[in-house]
Amino acid sequence: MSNDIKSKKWNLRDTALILLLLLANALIVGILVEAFLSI
Amino acid sequence: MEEAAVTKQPRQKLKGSLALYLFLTLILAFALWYGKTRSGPDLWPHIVEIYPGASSYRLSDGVYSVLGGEGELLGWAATGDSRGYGGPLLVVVGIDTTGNVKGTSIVEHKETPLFFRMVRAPNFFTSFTGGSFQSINYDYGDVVGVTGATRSSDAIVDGVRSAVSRVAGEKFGVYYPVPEPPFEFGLFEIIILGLFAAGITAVYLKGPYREILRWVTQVSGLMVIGFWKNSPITVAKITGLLSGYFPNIHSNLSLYLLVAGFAITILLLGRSVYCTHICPFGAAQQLINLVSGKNIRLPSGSARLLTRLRNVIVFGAITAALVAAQPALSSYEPFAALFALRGTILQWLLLLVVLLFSLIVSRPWCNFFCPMRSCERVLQDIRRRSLSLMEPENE
Repeated sequence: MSNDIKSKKWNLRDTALILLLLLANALIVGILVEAFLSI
Repeated sequence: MEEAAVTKQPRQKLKGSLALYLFLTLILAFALWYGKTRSGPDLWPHIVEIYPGASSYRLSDGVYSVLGGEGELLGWAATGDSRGYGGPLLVVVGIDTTGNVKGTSIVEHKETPLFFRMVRAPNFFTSFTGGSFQSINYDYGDVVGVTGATRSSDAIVDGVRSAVSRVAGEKFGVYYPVPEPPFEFGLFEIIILGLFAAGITAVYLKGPYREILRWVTQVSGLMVIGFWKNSPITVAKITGLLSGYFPNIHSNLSLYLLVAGFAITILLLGRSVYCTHICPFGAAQQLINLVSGKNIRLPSGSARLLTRLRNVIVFGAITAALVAAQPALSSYEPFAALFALRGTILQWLLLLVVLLFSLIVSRPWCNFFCPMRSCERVLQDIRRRSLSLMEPENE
């Protein structure tokens, strides 16, 4: 049981990290789109 | 260890990824061709901007004679080209029949939009106009250079100087030489060479001095290439070189040293000494990571997915910039926000996210976002292929 909770915790942390990294990717795409629109 | 993996890599796999490389290269070549063959800029709107009463113009001996509604001569105009940060820059300058500068206008440029907005400040352009072409002082005392966009403002000054010299020579018989920029080999260039030498030494050192030397090169890179010069390698510079834009080596020696050092160390040593020992942004992340000392590792599948996403974004950015013939647009790095305190809101946000990430993940920018990491992978692959070609076939 405690292992389950531990692995859930880990998964939650990893998921949060990956989501934040994807957010940074979205920012990068936003920066590129903003630059191309400003031509 | 990496070498062992190299020789064991099946030839079939090497051939498969070679086909992918060829396909991607073809796309880049097409994008480059498309960008280069698009029609040139239209000069007319710029001539009207300088001579509001102009109704036509004709070109002879490289100088445009601008005519009014009744065919009267309003003055002359000439274009001057120079090399900016992102690529060639074209300026048009109008000089009236009495020799006064009527105005200047930028016809075409490939600078980063954010920085170019800074040089568009009105006092920059008005500093050229009004007086006689002979009284223009091109030194920054008179012409207001723009802090943080020095290369763009230098390029405009060079373009104006070249255009003025054309009209002065052709219409006023005044020889007005355009000086070649001096060869810049100073402290900055020496430090770059020193950093590469120290970085390569650190790679081969054993014991505690290895880490000490790495910190010395990293902190020096942060201070010198980052905060002092704000000139780390960016994808825009690589895209510029790919598109055949080679900035004047006299005034851009540092760029060539950095790019050559980056590529040569990967091809010879199999790793980028620039990335691990010199890059100022890498050092900034590493210093922030010291605060917590934590390094959370992502599951390998997710990490692979994120690096693939990075490769796709980098390839897309380079291709789009080649199609638009604007190499500077491929840059998305938040370096200027950190080192020159200049950036768009999105760049500031990206910087914030990356620096916060650095607290819990080691070098998140390098691992998941940096376009130079994608370039490093390509060069490592070239090295791997070359080595495997040299190996006798053991099948």
